[in-house]
Amino acid sequence: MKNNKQSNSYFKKEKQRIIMATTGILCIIIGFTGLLLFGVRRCTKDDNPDNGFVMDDNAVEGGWNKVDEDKVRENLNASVEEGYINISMNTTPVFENGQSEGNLMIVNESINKYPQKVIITRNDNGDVIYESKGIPVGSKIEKAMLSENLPAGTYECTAMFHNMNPETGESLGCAGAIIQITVKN
Amino acid sequence: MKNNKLTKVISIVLAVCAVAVMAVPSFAADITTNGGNGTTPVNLYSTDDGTLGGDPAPTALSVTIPTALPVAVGIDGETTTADNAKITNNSYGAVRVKTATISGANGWTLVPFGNKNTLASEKVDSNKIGFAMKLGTGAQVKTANTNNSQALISAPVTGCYMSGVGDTTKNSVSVIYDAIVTPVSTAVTEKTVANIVFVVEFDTAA
Repeated sequence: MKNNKQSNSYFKKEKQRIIMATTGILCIIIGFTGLLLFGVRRCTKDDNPDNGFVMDDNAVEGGWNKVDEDKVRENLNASVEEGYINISMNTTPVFENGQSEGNLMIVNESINKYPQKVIITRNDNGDVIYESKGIPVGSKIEKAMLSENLPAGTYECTAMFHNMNPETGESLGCAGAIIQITVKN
Repeated sequence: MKNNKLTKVISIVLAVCAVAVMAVPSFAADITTNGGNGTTPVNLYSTDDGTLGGDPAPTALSVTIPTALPVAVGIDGETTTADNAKITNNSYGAVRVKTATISGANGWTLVPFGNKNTLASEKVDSNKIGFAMKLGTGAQVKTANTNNSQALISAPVTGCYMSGVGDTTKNSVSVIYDAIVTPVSTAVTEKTVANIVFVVEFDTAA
């Protein structure tokens, strides 16, 4: 009988020890997890509890972000791709006279991304002798009249093609071609 | 009487036919001696649709040109540029770059291109850019003074020439470029600080 009592007491104490040990281990695990999840403010040698100077919790180790040159170049290359313009036209258009239509054959090729506007300027005096309105992608102006009644002759000109932003009407960039305009009579 | 008249008409028609048959066509080579030679012209018709009846038209010009040469600058003034810019000739005929002109934009002005340290004495926000470029195997061309518009290329030079589209190894030239810029006090994004305009033309034999 006495032995049974002693035995029960022993098992109770053992059970308590196991519970306490398990609780302790759980507390350690929870505490460690909390540290990992929420971080811990390190007490550094610069902290001075006496005068209240402590380090900013937002401060993290490191300096200015290093540039990922490949990533930057990738974005720059995409910008170049976006800005390409294909210019296409007849470089020797002929006009029967200064008031007739000539075969300009300006083509905004379907590989382009923006509507185009073409301005033709005489190279000898800088006069603008033709200015188109917007030419949609995949469209062309086969024939058109010049805005100036030119006398018979051959004129070296520059045809400037503009990529146009259809929403703002602004030129997004341009490129040109040298052309020879002939007015027969 | 009527039959006689009909016979005469038929005779005249037949006589004309006989003479016509004996006549030498004017467009054939007239070779009258043994071992002689004649000339056969080969006539070319350049038309918009490639037919004899089409509207006269020359070879079409078709060239793809970059209109944006972006530059990224880091907080330390180091610049990065794109490496895929090129001019591609899609025409059947050879093409060359005749001119390339740069001008400052949106309050930015041009300065001679060089080491970025040449801008060390410039004030922040003085908005200055120096630019350099190389077409294909050509020599580097660069901004050389403070004029607001400068010709980087004023006449075709080595590196400017492209073959027709038939030779895909020579129908494009790379545009390699670099820049130096003065410091900025506020961040800028996609700001146009200069414009470059390329002008191309057919590479003619004349």
